[in-house]
Amino acid sequence: MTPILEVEDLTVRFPVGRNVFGRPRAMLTAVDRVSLAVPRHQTVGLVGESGSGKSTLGRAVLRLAAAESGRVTFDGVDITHLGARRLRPLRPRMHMVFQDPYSSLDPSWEVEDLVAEPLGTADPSASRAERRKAVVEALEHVGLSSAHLNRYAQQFSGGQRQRIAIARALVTRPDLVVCDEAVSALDVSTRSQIINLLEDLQRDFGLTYLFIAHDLALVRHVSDWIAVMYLGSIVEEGPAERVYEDPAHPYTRSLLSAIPRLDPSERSRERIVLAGEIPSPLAPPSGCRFRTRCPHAMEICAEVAPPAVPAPGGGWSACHLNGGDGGVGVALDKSGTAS
Amino acid sequence: MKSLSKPTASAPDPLLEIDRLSVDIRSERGVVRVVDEVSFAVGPRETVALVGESGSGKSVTSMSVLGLLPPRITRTHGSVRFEGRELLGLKPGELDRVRGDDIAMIFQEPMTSLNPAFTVGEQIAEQVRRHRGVSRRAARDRAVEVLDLVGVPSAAERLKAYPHEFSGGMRQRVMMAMALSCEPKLVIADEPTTALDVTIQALVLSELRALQERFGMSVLFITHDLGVVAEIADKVVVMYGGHLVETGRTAEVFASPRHPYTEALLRSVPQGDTAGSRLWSIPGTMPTPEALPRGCRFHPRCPYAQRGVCDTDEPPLEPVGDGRTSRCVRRADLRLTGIGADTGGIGAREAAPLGGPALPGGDRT
Repeated sequence: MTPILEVEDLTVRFPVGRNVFGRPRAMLTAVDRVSLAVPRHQTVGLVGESGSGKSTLGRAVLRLAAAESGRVTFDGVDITHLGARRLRPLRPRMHMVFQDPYSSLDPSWEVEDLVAEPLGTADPSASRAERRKAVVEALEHVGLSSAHLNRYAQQFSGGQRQRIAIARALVTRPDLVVCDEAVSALDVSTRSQIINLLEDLQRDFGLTYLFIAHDLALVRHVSDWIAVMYLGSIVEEGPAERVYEDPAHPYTRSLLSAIPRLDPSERSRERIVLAGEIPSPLAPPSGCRFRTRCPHAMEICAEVAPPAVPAPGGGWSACHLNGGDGGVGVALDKSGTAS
Repeated sequence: MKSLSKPTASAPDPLLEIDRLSVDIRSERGVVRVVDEVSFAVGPRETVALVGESGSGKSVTSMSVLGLLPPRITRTHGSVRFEGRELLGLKPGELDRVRGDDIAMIFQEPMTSLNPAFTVGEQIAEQVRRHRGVSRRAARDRAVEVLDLVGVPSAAERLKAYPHEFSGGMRQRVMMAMALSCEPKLVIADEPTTALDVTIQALVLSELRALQERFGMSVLFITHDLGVVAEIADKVVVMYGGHLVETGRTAEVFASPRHPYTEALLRSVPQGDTAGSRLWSIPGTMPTPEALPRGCRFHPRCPYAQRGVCDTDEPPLEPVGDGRTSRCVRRADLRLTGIGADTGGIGAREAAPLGGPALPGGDRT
């Protein structure tokens, strides 16, 4: 079965600052030649620090950010440059749930209108009654009810608002939902309610998730496959279990080692502390982008960008330590199969 | 009044002692109690974590210690003693001297507490001059010293930079430098790493630990993140619905919680390979101070709640041995699970609270 979403060699760039003539002073490369496949009914987790480009990638696959080059294929259709008219029938099939349920829902709208809004573009001919029926159904799926139809978003707690946001994403019966830090703003107890809900909905409706988050423990819990991004590029991918138990890239290892452990006796454990912070995407380092913070950086890292090398246990990583240069490993195309 | 010797002479006098602290806030809907009879102490060189979700009252508690609540709409009762001296009711001028001199505060979002119009050097030096009364030159040297201490590279040059020229992690370190510039005895840190990436959080926490060892200061750490508590705190104080529900040494509380809310918090955090299983979750939401449930404030969401036991009288916070306390009347009957226990069945058991889900959208759909 073809993946529901395929990203090939995608690059997204933004102009930064404008001079007096309105020309951009510089171009910022937020996503740099990224390839990623999201199989149907699965959850692909996308992790990385702020500034890694993970949110931009999430927006680009929904055409909320424009691709400069490369390709985004949704259910076999190349949507990279699809015009608005031909994109319209696909829109209801893909949705996004954002981090902040306080700013993503207009407080002056009633719940019914908030949830019904995506239906307007999906099926403009639907009657009012049909619409209401769809809205109530979506609300019930997320644990709300018709009693909430005429209330305003501001009358709800953070967790309940996120349920409304999910109902809104669900109302058109989408195939793909991009969750961008969808539970990050919620309290611990509410967070697990929403995660369980997302997993139930996936099972019941055969949803596919691209789950973007910085909480690595949570990403591990929800994901089948994980991609790790650093400064616009994916540096490692693989089955969730393999990436967590046997990370192949030094960046993945340091990210995992930075997660606070719940066991106070692990306080004295060895940590891989990264030097400095993520460099500016305006001037990314040559060769391997991670080399300026990497505890293992070698001469070659400044000169040659490391190729993707298969990782034992599935997926790949791009690090000179893992071979791949000069025939030590096998060069891969990034779908994980040897080329 | 100073440090009346206690009958138990073994423990050193606490640096900060909060005794039956209550905070009432006046709103259009009347007066509500958002912090209710909170008592705990922070000893010398000790790190105490005040844990709770939003609405638990943890931040109001920490702010009332420094008199940072707007006096027009809040009323504080009880006692907050620092080195034996009562802080509640101090005049603004006196309080100002305590703040910065002896107690410093670090906030979640440094941008709101740093002045964007002045360089960080000016801001740190100003603080040092005000509290230490030293020369401009000495204050500037001190600023370089503390920036260097918290790991801001090329501190002398960065002195001339404005707050917006720093990244989030660096700004948080500037805040730490400012807080440390007068060598306070107590640092109150309110969610200082919440807005940071895990990698930067790890750096800031290890920096804070190193500084604490070096200067021997005490830290009151306010957070919702139990992982952070495990990393940094000697003792933990768990708040729910405006009051304390459990206190004790972190290792002991985490290994064997004595309150169902603490258990629920610990088990809601996925640890290791939990794929395929449901996360432990607490149905419903935190009660608002205007509408606290009768009996135990947690009972409508508690999987162990018993009719006629938990929904009648409010349980008191009682000692449970080893210097620990719990506010659960059923604690003796319950075998609560902490960390390190077999987590294979995590989430296998769904919380089934008294009287069904407390709210539409309880966990089950």
